[in-house]
Amino acid sequence: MKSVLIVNPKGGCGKTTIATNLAAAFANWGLSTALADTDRQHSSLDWLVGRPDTAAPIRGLDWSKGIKKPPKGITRLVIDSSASLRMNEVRELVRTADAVIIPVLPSVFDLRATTAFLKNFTDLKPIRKHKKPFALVRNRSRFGSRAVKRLDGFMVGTDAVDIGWLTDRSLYNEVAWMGLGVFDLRTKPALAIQQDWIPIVRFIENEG
Amino acid sequence: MTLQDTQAQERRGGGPENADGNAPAPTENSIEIELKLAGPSDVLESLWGSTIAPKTKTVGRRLISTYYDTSDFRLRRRGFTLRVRQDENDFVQTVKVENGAAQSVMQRGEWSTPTDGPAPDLTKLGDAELLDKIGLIVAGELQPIFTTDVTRQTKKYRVNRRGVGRAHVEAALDTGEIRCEGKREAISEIELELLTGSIVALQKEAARIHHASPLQFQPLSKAERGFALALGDHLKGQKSKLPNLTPEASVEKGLASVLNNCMGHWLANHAAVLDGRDTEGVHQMRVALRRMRSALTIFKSILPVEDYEWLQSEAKSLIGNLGGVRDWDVFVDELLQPVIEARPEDANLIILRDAVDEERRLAQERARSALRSPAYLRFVLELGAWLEGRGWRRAGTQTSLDRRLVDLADEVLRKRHKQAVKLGRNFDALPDEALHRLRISLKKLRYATEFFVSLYGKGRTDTYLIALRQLQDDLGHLNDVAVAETRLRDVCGRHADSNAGALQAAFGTVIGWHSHTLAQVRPRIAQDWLEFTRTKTFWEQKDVRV
Repeated sequence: MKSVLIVNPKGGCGKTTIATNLAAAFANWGLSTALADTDRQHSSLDWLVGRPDTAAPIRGLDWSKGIKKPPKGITRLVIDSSASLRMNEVRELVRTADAVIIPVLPSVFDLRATTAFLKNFTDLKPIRKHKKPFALVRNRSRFGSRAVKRLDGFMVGTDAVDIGWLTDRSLYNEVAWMGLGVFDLRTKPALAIQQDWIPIVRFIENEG
Repeated sequence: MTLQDTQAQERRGGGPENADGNAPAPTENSIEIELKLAGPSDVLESLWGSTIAPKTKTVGRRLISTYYDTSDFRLRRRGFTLRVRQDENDFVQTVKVENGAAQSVMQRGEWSTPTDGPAPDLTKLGDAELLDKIGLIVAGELQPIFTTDVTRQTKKYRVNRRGVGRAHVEAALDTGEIRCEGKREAISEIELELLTGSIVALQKEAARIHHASPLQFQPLSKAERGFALALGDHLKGQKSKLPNLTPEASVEKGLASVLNNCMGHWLANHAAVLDGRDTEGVHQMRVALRRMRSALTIFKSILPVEDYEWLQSEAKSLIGNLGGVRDWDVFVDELLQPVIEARPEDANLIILRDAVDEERRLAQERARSALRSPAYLRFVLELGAWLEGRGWRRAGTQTSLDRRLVDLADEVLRKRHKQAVKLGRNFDALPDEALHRLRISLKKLRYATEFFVSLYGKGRTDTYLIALRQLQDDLGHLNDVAVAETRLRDVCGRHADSNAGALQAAFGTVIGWHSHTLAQVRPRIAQDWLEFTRTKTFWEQKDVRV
């Protein structure tokens, strides 16, 4: 089994969007996929409730009261973590994951919050000892924009793998209402958006 | 039961099961057993008409296959190839395991499904386990890398050979080319695939065809050749992998595993030796054959005497044919180059290097023609048939074959270790000749240890192996200088021309240089030896087992 943790205690940076879409990508690839949610608000699990029976199946795991052993036969596990996690909770989650993805928004508040988080995060033993790969993805960004350039400067000097950016698209939100992700669709716009995910997938498959 | 299942069942019934059952493998019904022989297309055409089931109907068609991968070559890195083959208006995608997961030399995993058009769609394979191993690929990530365009003639026929069993064989004659962005390479080969029946019968059939008209061994798949062409890669030498044995394995299983492992290591370097650009190819093939000789000695007591002699002498002569190239490679890279760098103004050294380059070229030619010789392919086929058919059973040593391998391993390691320690007694005062004998003895000990690592576990063997390898490496340097001296004397003796004086001078410089450095290496070797003798051994010291 391969597991990916999506983490950043800053709220609203797109953890759930990334987690749900990644889970949908694995499920559509024919893999036995689970989506674990550590959030008491159950955003990811709520998304799953709305997921149609015809869509590729994803198993929901409620981790709001702690990490549980994933069921047998699962080959990909995506872990969506809640905002305002404590560092010891982050440590436990990092331990269970093969790869870690940290979404960052190109806003001053997000950068500050993430800088503070990264300082502690990179002090965790598996990260410090380069045992666990982690990557930063610029969320809701546009290539070449001034905000992204500022974000680039921020990423220099961390050990994080740079896995590009996810463009802000209304399609994510539209399909999320139906319990779907962009990987559930074969339409032209959906296929175009899927291309944004190549560096993320590459990171998980090659490093994780 | 599907047709494929039936075939796999029959195949299992028809031949001995695979020797190394521990390797991760595709499902049994998707394993393909095939052998490929290459030769000029007119020779192949004539064999096709006269030797390979001449009365059987031939079916011909043109096959165009395009191979796909992601731009970071994830499929290839994981040992898979993906092609979409166009057969008139039908498209079929096929995933193959190219290495790693394959068990023995001839076996490859294969999965196929039709697709709607030229673009592959792996999710259609519907095999979650396979898709898990391949990993997630985003739509549009797969790009065409190269195309093979062949005319394939096939016929199916039965062979029935006394003593080796029956086989239903599909023979294919492929002629055409590989294309990649304006680069081309010809394809001209015969492929024999075992549909049902015994592997031994298939090997014997290949030997019969080869006997009618000499062909060459072709270990590379079209995909491997295509990637080499597309990426401009030179074919690299391949290191050995450790045999995978379980503690309850029998001596027979150990014998089959270890010999299959050595043969796999040897043949994995075939293409690299012919390519010639990676010096590791020749080196690794020699190592593989030496490992094989060492393995034969370990299992000597259970092998028929004539088989033992046959295998030893074939392997020995092949090692000899590769020897020249390796000696010159070592000389240039490790002995001559450092001296040239230290004395860039010494013109004699350059004259020596040119003379040596010529020697190396000739040796390379000898090595290549050995690999292209009919005798080479005959040995490959005969050894393959012997391994699959468990030729050793003729010796009638069944009780010894059923013995626990680990007991034999204990015995062999204990004996070889003891012998090495004895040869190294009074280490500081050993003359060169004795050091050489010690080096050979340590090498045999190392091969035996590596064969049996999986019986004891890496944790128990690591320290010992590290000490052994260190010692052997340093002693190897000593030997390199000795070998170089012999080889050089030979070269100088043959050059009576105007360069003779320059060569003599350079010879003196290089050997003198390294004789001096050797004096500095000796204390380090003595230290290595001390470390080695102090390392705890990991096998059972006495026969405590019941």
